[in-house]
Amino acid sequence: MADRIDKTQRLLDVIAYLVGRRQPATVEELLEAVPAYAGKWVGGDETARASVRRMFERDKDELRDAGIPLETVPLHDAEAPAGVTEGYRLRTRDFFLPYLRVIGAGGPPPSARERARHGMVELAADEAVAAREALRQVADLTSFPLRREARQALRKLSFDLAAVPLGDAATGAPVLFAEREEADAIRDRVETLSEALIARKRVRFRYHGIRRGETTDRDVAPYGMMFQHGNWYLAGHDALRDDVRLFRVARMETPVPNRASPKSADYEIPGGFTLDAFRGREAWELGTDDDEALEARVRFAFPLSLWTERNGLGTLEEGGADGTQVRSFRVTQTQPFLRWLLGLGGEAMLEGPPELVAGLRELARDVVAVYEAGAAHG
Amino acid sequence: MAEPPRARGQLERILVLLPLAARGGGISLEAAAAALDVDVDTVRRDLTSVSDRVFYHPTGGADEIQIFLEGDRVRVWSGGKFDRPPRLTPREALALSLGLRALASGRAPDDRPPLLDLARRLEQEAASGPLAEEPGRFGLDDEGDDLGLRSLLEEAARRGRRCRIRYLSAGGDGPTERTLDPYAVACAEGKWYAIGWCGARADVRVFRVDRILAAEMEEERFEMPSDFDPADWLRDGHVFRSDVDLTARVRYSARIAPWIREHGPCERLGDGAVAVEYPAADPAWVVRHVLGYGPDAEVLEPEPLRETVKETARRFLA
Repeated sequence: MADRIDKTQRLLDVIAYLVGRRQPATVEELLEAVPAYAGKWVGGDETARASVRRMFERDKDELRDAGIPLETVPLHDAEAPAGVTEGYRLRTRDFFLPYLRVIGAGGPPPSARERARHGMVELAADEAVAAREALRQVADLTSFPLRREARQALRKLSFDLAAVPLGDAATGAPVLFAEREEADAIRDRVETLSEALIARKRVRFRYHGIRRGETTDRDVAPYGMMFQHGNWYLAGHDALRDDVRLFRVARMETPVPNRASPKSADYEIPGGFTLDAFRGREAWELGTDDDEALEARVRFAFPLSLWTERNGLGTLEEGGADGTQVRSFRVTQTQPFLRWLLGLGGEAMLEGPPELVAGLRELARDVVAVYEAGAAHG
Repeated sequence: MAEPPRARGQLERILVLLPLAARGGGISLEAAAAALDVDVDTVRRDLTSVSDRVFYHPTGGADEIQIFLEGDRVRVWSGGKFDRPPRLTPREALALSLGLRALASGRAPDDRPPLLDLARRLEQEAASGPLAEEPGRFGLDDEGDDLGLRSLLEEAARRGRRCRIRYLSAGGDGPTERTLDPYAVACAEGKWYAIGWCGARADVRVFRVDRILAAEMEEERFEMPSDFDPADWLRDGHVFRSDVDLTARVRYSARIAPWIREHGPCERLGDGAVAVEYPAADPAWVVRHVLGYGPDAEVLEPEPLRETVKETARRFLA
């Protein structure tokens, strides 16, 4: 019969056996009690017993990977060589989700006994809504690397929270992420990279660098993952350039993590590293060290000035009575900045410095030339 | 993360399914499927996997979990062993923390700390261990809204409440006041949009949240039309707008063609350049978009739009 036991059942049996016990179980007790192990363990020869033992070791890792807080505790055992043997424990309080109680939402509170057994977390109604909403949003983001986890967390929190009337605030807010058709393909790579980041394992991939137009093999220590402007990026230390770089996931071929010694970290992330250096930056701010920063002054006409103010773009230098505003920008990459200004269609006039003003005129001249050449051909 | 073995996914579902069915008078298979966000057949298979354990457990061993299927309802008795779901795992707590951070970014700076505190509290009190990773190593919150209007629009969409907004249309003379019934809030290429009924136009419109200068929620409620599906307004990473009926054809030079090809299907032109057609786009958007590429992008059609782009560029030469 034991042949019919599948892995889900075996893992469930381990949990069911441990979760109800007051005392930790010795490894012997456990292997005798869980049918999938007992079949070969009880009365098995050395080889069979060793293989059962290995199976249990793998299962233990898997349960822990799945977030089941299985504890190893030393147990006194007079018959064991050193007088101690390994024991296992799954404490009720560590295993079960505490009661999530929404303040003022009515319904019977958990009894004192239930509270003592599982603990209780009190949430305001708006917190309960926010927690579910937060999970729903990331679970809906196709390329989010912890999408499965978000879904499972939502199931768990909803166990208590879905039963509570939260009024009109409870229905899901339709918040959507428009993702490219390639989001599914990207997700596999984002997952591999996120997994490598968490385990601190280096990754190798072929990268189609667009700026230089080259395809190179990269060996990167992941420091962070970032979803920005609808694209996923990996930030990490790149062995080829010996520097921290940002890589667009869509430009990588399948990343391969270092599989050697999976349990030990390949690197440490330097204490000073933060994604803030890359995050929320406009293209013209994403510079490398060798770019010199320029301070640009831009006059925004009314009503575009209202938009720059609403979004806190640049730093306000002066506001005119006519509603115009002069704002300053720190620019490390001039081309993206100038092109952005060009796109604002003359509602934003660059006042300085002269080298940027000249660059903008040149850019505008090039654009006009494209249309004149096109007309001549046409 | 990387899709776990099938067994683990199933185990995760079972650990929530059992308590759902252990509570009160059990649960209908349909309600269980909805709560787990899977189909009814999956629920049946999961239950069978648990109940089949009776075949291999020594007498009475498996009766610690008894499953009663009565019509389309399932009831579970587990002697208190599976009467609650497990705690959040360190990765699930990380997902929650990242979600709350993303939510916080749509709020005004002063309103963000309560959400971050909530994340910390749930991570300490409801998770089985410390977070799997420092949340700061995953950046989801790039496009913050310091005025908190995104969060207000999300709430209004959730509660079905009309908003009064001050909106700055692209190319308009100044902001205008109007009512908006926000049906959905959407993010595309890092920009946030509100899709909803515009009182001024008496039609469904798309609004860029960064152009909404002020918004207030009114007492008045609205009902979203049942045939409205916000997903219809998203296509391959873009929010598309129905308010202007236009197709623009844009040529991108060989120099930047590799970037453009990353974004989706495009037509290859002879010299390494590519062309893309943008349907139903806003002309002001096309002008900004094309100028954003400098001489590397050129509107091929329609002719009036070519003129607009050329004239706009000329303004910089005056």
